[in-house]
Amino acid sequence: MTATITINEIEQRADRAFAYALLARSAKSYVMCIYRLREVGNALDTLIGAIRPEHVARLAHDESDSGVRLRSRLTELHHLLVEFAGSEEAAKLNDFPLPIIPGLVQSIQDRTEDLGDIVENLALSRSDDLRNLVSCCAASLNLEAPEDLVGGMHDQTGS
Amino acid sequence: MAACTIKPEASPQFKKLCERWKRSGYRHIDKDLAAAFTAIQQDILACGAFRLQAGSRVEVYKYRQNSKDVKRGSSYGWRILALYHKPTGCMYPIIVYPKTVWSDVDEALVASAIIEIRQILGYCISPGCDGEMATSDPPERKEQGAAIQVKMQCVKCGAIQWATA
Repeated sequence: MTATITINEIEQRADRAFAYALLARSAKSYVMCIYRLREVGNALDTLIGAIRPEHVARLAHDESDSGVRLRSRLTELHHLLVEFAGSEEAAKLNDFPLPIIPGLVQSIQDRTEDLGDIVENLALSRSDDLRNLVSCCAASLNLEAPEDLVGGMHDQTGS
Repeated sequence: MAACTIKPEASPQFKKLCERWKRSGYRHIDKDLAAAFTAIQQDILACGAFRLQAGSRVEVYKYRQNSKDVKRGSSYGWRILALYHKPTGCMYPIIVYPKTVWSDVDEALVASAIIEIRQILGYCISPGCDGEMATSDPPERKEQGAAIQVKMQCVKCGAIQWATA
C-alpha cells in the first residue's frame, strides 16, 4: 500500500516526534533529579543516624588527625548543604508541581538542620569562651563550675 | 526519665538576655520558654537535650525550643543553656539565644556569638579575661548612628569597650 503523504504532513509528524523527544529529555532530567536528591537524602540519613550524642562528645575533644579531619569535613558538608537548602533552586524545587521532588528537598533541608545541630554542639563543647561564661554564670548562682568538659552525652529526644 | 525543678528567675544573666531578645523583636520569648520549661521539668532530656559539660555535682545542658517568632522547626528556634545542680535537682537556665544568628555554624561563628553574648551580659571580651565591665570614670557617651554608646572599662584587665546603652 503506497501512502500518499504531503510534505506538510511529514513536517507535522516531525514536529510531533520532536515534541515527544523534548518531553523524554525533560522526563530524564526529572528522573535524574529525583535520583540525585534521593541519593543525597539517603547518604545524610545514614550519616546522621550513625552520629550518636556520645560520638559528638568524643569527637569534640579528639585532637587526633582523624578527629580534626572529621570535624572539618562535617563543617564543610554543613556549609555545602546550607548553600543548597537556602538556595533559590531549592525554593523552586520545593514548589515543584510534580510529586516526590518537594518531599525530597524538604527532607534534605531537615537533615541540614540536624547536621547543623551536631556541628553547633561540637563547636560549643570546644569553646573556652563558653566555658568561662558558664563559670561566671555558675558563680553568680553560688554553684561550683562543672569540672568535667568531656561529658558522656545522653540520648537526644525530640521536643 | 528524670524530673527537675526549674528556676528561670535565679540567673541574672538569663534575665538580662531574655529582656534583650524581647527588645530585639522576639515578642513571644516568654511563652516559648515557658513551653520548654514545662517539658524539661518533666524530663531533663526533653527539647533535644544535649549535655555540654558533665560533672559530679553540676552539669550543663543545651536545649532547643521552637520560636513563635521564627516560623521554622526547633532547629531554628531558641537555644537554652542551663546548669543542672544534681544534689538539689534544680535546673538553672543561664543563657538563651536565637538560632537564626548561627544559621551557618562553624567554630569561628560560635566564638563570635559567645563574645556577643558576653558583651550583652557586661563581661570583658578580651581574650582570657573573665572580668566584668564597669562604666568608665569619668563616664563617657557617644552617638553611633541611632544608638548611644557608653564607654566601659574592665575592672580586671582595664580594657576599654564601647557598649550600646
